[in-house]
Amino acid sequence: MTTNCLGRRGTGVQADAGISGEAASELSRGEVLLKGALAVSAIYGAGAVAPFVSRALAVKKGNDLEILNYLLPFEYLQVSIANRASSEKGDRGEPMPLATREKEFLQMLLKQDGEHVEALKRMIEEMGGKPVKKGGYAFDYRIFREVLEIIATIENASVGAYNGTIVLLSSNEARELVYSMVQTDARHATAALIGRKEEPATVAFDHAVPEQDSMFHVLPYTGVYPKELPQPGGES
Amino acid sequence: MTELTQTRRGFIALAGGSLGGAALLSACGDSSSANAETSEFGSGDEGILNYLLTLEYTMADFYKKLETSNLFSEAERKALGKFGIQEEEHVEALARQLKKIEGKPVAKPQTKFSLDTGPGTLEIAEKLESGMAGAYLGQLPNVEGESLRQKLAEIHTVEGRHSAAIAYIQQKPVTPDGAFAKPLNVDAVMVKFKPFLGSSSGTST
Repeated sequence: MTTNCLGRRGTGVQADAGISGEAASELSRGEVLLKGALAVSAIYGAGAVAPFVSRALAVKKGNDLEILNYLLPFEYLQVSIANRASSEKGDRGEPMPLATREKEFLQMLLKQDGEHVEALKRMIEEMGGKPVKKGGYAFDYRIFREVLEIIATIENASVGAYNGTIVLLSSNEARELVYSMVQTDARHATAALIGRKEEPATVAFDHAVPEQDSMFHVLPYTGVYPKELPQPGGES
Repeated sequence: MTELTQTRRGFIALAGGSLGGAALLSACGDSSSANAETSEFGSGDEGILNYLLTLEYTMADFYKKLETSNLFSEAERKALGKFGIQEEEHVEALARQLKKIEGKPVAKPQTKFSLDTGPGTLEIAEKLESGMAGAYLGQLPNVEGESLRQKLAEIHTVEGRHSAAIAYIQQKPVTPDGAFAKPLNVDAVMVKFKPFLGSSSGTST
């Protein structure tokens, strides 16, 4: 297994979860997801992976409740990072003063991504399902620029996850809702990227991203850090 | 502050300047609802594709003209030119999709842009890019073919990015509709595009 974590900041993870392309072709999509998730859990801790994976495994065409429940944690993550950073404290509780415009940006994300959470939950409940609960999330940042990097990573991963699953939804109502949400998430990602002096649109197509890959990008925030690295809030 | 200075500051933001608070506040957008009325461009998915192709042709042409103007610095033109390249890729993708469904592609429309000032040009860009994002969102629910819907969805969010980036450099809200982007119907979109289109739009080759 080769895993490449881009620093302890955890804003980008590229993981070859021990599945070669050749081997993967002989496995079902569910098996690939499970193997990938198990490989990741060996590093990050099984508790961090289970809720996401159980939903991702259930993402199938027409399984609207599971698809919406798979997407919901992406919105939880967006709200969570905006909320944490709005407190003007770094991940270890140290002061992280924000400029007014930075606070306004975080408040905008908090409000709009919070509305996305509520809309998804409502839709799931209206369909007779139970929204997946918010997990425990951890973010590693000291300055606002690092917050922007986390936001861009999560929003971009969300766009890929949405674009990978919307087409599987059978409910027109659900589809229309999430199409309107994914455009907003792409706009959020754009603002965060420009704020980091990065290109807002590097490619002409926001390709659909398979569940496994989308999860890999956000797993570093799901509460458990690699064991060999300092824990947030702990001693460095 | 001159208009040009404001524009330059906007580009500095695009290149990575600090976040402008005013640009990040949400506001209400167009409340038009979407419909499937693309019959002017053909029936069903063919009509939707030709409608969007007309818009993409217009966007690609706009950026081409912008690149050859003297309104912006080379670096600025390069930043916006990248959007133009992406619009051209969208044109090619839509044309491929049309071929796939054995549809007849619409003729490339004549366009008429008068790009006199930097801020004025950005106003046009903002109007058109927000129209693009709204147009895709308006048509996605109407698309019958699943793979086509997937392809349009992948373009849709990029148009949202373009629109947000232009809004950002103008210090306007990056999410003008708030948490939920609003779809635009054909009429609402064409109101934005018509002033820049010549007479040949909607004509099949």
